[in-house]
Amino acid sequence: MNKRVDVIQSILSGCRQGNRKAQHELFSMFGPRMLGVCRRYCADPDDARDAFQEGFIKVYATLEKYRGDSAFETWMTRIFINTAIDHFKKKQKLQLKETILPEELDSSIGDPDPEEWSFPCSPEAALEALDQLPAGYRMVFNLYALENMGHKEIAALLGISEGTSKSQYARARKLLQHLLTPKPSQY
Amino acid sequence: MSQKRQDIEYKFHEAFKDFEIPVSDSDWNRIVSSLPENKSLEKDIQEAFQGYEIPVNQGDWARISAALPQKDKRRRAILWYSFAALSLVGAYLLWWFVPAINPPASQLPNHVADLNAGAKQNHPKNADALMGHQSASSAPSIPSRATAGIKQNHDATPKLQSSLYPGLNEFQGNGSNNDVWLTHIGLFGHHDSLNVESWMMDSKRLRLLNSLEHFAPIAAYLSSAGTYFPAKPLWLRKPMPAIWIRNGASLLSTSASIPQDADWQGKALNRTQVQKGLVHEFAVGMQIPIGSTAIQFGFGATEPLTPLKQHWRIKTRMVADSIPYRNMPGDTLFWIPVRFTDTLVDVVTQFSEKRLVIPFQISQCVPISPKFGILFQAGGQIGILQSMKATIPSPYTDYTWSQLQQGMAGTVKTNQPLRGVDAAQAIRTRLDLSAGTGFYYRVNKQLMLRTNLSLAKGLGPLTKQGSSYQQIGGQFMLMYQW
Repeated sequence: MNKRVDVIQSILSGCRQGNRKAQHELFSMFGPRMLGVCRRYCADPDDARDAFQEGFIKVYATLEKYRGDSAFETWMTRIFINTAIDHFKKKQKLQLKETILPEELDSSIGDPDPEEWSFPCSPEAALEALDQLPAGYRMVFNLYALENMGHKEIAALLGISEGTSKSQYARARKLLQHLLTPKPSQY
Repeated sequence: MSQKRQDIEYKFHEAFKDFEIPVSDSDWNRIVSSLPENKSLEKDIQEAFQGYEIPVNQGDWARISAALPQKDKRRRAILWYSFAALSLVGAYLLWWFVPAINPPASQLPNHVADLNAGAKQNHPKNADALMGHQSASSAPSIPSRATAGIKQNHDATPKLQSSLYPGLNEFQGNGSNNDVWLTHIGLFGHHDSLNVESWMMDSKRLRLLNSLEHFAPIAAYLSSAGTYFPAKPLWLRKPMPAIWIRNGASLLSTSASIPQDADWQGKALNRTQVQKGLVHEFAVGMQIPIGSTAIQFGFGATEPLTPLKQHWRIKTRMVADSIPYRNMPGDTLFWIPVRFTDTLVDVVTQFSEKRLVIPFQISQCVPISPKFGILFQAGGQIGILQSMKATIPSPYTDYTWSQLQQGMAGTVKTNQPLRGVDAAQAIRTRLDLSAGTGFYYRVNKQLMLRTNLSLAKGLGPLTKQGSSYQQIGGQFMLMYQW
């Protein structure tokens, strides 16, 4: 573990000096993971790659500000999340207000099972389900469930009210549960 | 129950009292896997994305690295820039030095009287040769319109006016139009890319043979397709909307070996004519992105101030692919086109030629800071020109293509006579080289200023008699992207 930390420190040191080789090593080491993070936030794979590339450029540019208070990967992930959100905001106005689902879909979602029996799912299945969420649901769910942020923090980040964040999350959760529950034909 | 039976049961009971068979983890796992878990949805999805990765490729890295400033390249960039600047200064000095070897037209004897005088003074060999083939009395009279026209058109060139033979002056003036292909100067910096572009022009003349002939336009349609290589991955990205204003000027020096008095002597005596002039260029343009492509409209004028030549261009550019221009930490990247198709409509005056020009160019953009960078450009063009007009040493050089053809065949008498063998059609190939450097400065994420200084040299003959040119020019460009 310490060895990995040392390697990262050495790479970061090179990156701070503008060393292209070190920059490439950092890219190789964290690129796939960070692209995965961006993909969770962007429904369009091309947009995810755009955000990913912009995120890396930001990481290199702001590396001086990283003081080692948190794990580097955590710090880096946060940059990519912010970039993905910024990118999305720029691309199109976020529909973060109450999204109205198509009636057909809305009526097909029952109340969540109080027992919440769920089944393990693959990343592909999870991603497929996330892709079907409206943009606002997706953002809020990612931030709350996967980044462990509070609704207050999410609201500030996305520029929405805390109540909107909560309702978006509840609906996202309900929809995801519907999407991820194996249908009878899948048994 | 008998005592015996009770004993047996007791023994069995005692025997299995502590009986156990060890179980393994796999037994437990098998049981667990068959049971649904009472977990939350969040946990499921968290686990699904645990260690989730998407492979990255070299294209991703290429785009990132292209947009990154390289601190360790700064010194090299400064060295290169110094070298380029010194080269430009050296070349510029050389450019000024050349006329000293080949005296400018104004210093050469043009009129027979000058020739006679000059023969005794500075140019004995030329004068002797010339005197053997011509005399003052055999020179044709010069129509007043031509003389007047020259006076009107060359006010800005005292050197040209100093020549006493207006016919040659006119030729020189037209010669600088016809002989010189303005150097292709790129507008954008590119990262490690080579621009190959081809232009095809088929001129359609819309000329009026009257006293305003110099201002009569010729419409030409040009189309070009461009690309850059070595090829990069096809990155279909979104170009930014942009508008720009470009303004520039070039000092132009042409040298041409032309026959003197060939039209009435029937025999040419070559001599080198050197002249300088100023070329001014102004253009405005805009880029409108449509999906992943963009259309550029540019409208501008190239105007050699001496003599008059007007050149208006409307260009439409369809951009297929773009690459990031440079990084703006915290901001959106800017995209420049790397594959595009141009359509140009050129309106020029005084051309009677068809040409094929293949420009090529390498440009390098080296960011020094997030806002400031250096541009390097090198390139040139290979061209083939089919021309008639450039070969006529007469004041009456404004003939249409068909008139010239007919004139060659001797079937048409125009109001202004075609003279001599020099009305022949000429096809010439030519190589022009150029190099340039400049700066760009990004005021903010939208506004960019660019300057460019370039030096160009035309090699090889263009006219029947042969000519070349040197050009040094600069451009200033203001670009607004959003």
